[in-house]
Amino acid sequence: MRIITCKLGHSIAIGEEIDVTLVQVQLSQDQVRLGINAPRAVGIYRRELLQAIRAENRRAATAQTSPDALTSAFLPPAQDAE
Amino acid sequence: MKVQTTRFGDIDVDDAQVITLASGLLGFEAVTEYCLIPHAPASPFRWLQAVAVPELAFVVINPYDFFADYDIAVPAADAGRLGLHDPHDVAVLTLVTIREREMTTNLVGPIVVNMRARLAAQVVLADSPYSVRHALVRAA
Repeated sequence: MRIITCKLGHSIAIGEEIDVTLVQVQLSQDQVRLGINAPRAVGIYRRELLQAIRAENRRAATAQTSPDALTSAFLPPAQDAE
Repeated sequence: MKVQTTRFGDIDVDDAQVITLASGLLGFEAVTEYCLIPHAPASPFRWLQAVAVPELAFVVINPYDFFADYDIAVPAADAGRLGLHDPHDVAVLTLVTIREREMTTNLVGPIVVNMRARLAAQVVLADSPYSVRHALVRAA
């Protein structure tokens, strides 16, 4: 990983089209605020969010769900009350 | 086309019904073609079956069947890539995870489908109030 020291309000260019600006420091003990300028087609997400979705996709795929299991797992609310 | 599946055997799928996820699903980026298989008559569930991977299928729902106030803003980049212009063309699916008797759905990474163009993408909702494991049904 490349690590760059950056002053408040300054930016780091990633390639020609992406700028990351340090907008605010000491938001709290362990947070900073970043501004990102990038082409519209570039997805900008928290890495942790992408990882959470990826992990959940894998979980959904490996749940070994069979059509019969789905039918029996789904209890309509009316049956919950029994 | 003939689609081989481990759950449903060999099924016939009209080529025009195939849905292309150009970027795949997160974690399954290489799998880009799927078809939708109804679970049972009147069931809210469908299966998103990979056309080329017999064992890969996801249970999906229309989240609005369960959460009428589910509210998503499709990022402009995704809307552009999917060619979403007419709201009537748009369908939303969310993946369901079933573990033991616990059923959850991922409301943070919905699959947005242009039903007319048969193009879809898993959209990432940043800063949404939803969870990747939103309880769907809690069995008694």
